[in-house]
Amino acid sequence: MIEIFHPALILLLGAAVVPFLPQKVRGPVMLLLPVIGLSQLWAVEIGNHGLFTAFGHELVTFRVDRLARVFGIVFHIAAFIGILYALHVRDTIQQVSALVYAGAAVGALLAGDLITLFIWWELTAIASVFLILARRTEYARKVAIRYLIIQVGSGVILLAGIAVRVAETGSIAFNHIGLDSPGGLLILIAFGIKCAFPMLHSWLQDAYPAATVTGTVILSAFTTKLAVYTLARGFAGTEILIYIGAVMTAFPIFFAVIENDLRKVLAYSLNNQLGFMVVGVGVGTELALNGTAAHAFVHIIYKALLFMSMGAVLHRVGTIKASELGGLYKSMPATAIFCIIGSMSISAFPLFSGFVAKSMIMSGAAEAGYWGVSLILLFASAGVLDHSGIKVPYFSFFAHDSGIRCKEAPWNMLVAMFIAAFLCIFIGVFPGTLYSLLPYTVDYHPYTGAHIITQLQLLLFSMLAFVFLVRIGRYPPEIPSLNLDSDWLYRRLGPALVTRFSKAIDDGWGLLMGACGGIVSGAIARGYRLGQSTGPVSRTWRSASSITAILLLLALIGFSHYVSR
Amino acid sequence: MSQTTDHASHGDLSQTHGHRIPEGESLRWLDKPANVNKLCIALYVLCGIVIIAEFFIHKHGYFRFEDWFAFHAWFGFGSYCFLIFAAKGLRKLIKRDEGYYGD
Repeated sequence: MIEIFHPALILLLGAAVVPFLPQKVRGPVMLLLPVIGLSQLWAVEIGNHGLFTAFGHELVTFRVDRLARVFGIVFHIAAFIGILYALHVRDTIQQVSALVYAGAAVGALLAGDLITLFIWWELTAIASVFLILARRTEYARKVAIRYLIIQVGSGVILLAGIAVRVAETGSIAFNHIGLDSPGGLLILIAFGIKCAFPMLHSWLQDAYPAATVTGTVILSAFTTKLAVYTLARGFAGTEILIYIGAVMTAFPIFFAVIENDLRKVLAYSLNNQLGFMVVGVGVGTELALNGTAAHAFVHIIYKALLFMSMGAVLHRVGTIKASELGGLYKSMPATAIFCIIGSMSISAFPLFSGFVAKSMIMSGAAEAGYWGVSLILLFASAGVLDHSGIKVPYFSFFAHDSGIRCKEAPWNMLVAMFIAAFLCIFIGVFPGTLYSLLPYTVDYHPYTGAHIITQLQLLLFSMLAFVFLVRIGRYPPEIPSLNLDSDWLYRRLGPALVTRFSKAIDDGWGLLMGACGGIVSGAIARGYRLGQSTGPVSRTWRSASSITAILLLLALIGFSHYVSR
Repeated sequence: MSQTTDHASHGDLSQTHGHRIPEGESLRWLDKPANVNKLCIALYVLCGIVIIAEFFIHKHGYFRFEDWFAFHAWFGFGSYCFLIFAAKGLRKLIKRDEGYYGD
């Protein structure tokens, strides 16, 4: 039997070799790596591989089951598309970190135990930060540090959870964990940080728009979907996730409407899409978990497509602020078409990939009887149409002509976008292919008359509302601005409190030192006065008074000695 | 980008007033307001079709409200308007200058 090679190691080995290759051959070699990795993942039998003992525990470094495999497949597709998109980039740092990051994410997916998971978990954080640093601006450096602190923090919390769990149960196996088991809450928080749970989310909107044009595409695929996978693995059926997910679908869309940076709009949109997946995990039925896996699969592709199209605009125009763009379809018609395909996919138009995936989650939630959550998901679906379906393509490629004329995106970007767009439509038209990869047997038919018509009603009437609001002049204009989010807590409130606190300590210290200084200098002055030529110590005393003083002293010592016996 | 451009373009989907077409470049199909109107009319027609289509399908929703007539249509329209107005309110609260954080 031919030994199967761990797909993550293929990417990591590639990362080790690539810097020593001439730039010309790096591209083809890098493109080949995810292809080989995928073939290995596809060839390996379902089960546990790569077992060895370390730290007194049996590590399962290569576990393949249907859940891990479907995520693994799309991770490799995303790595391929991302590398192709970045083919023109001649930056060793970005090339290596993209490969290590993708490899670490794949390694974490295939981890069958918590220790292996932890190692890969931290490596994703460390590798990915270089995609932000590679922007090489002071702003990007600050963002990268914030990102790293939060990502590594998630790892530290995960480690604490694992420690509690191992101490209580003695097991490091990574299967269902649940909130009530030892260390469960800590592990859920660690996963929740990477999954951008509400109030733990702002690293995402902070970091992704700050990365390089090509780095954002890579970043958008892995970290958060790895977290979704770990949630599906460890916390399926945890009811609180339904409500957390519902909040995640709804709150980012308000921010997305008024955000001017279009890559940040997409980051909010990413957050909203994760919400759907988290709801699916919370519902935890076979239909809902299939929905989560399917949605993660299609989402990675169309989100990459949208980030690629906006990245192409940033690459060519030099800005991605909606207030400065418009009319770019004249310069970048192909990019515009690809962007619209991504928009229609994320909005879940029939015949596009979002339609066949998201509805499984919504049906799962409805089937389980969550009517309130179902209404929120429906509301959020209308919201997706606004920010990703309309706002992103409309303000960049259409709206008022900004007068900007530029070249179409480079060929490698166009091919990468074409592949992603093709997959969006292919999966939408032939959902059976995707369904056959899902963790459980699929008995779901997206293309019923009622589903098509109700979905079209929702989307078309939302578009009607857009036209209506623009016509009556009530649609909010794009204005150069910054909107506060929960990162305000640690970027403004926290530092302000620390500054005030340290100033208080500083002032208190100053007072204390002043007082002490006064006492000491007073004592020195008094001693000096005592010792001066006219002072009591230096003065010439008569022998009689000296002897009297000594005798008194001796009497005192003798008396105290007698008393203390 | 000047504020006046944004205001001038309000209430006009084709946003002709905000156009900055370089001299010597001819107008494209979409640059003409009449054609943008055609697209809007196409949208109205599609909206009409999906309402009428409701008579020909059998809805069997999980909840009773899903079976109300054209529920998804008016829920979508209402949601969208609510979202926009709520977001405009939110903007009043959280909008700051681009240099707010000093970077």
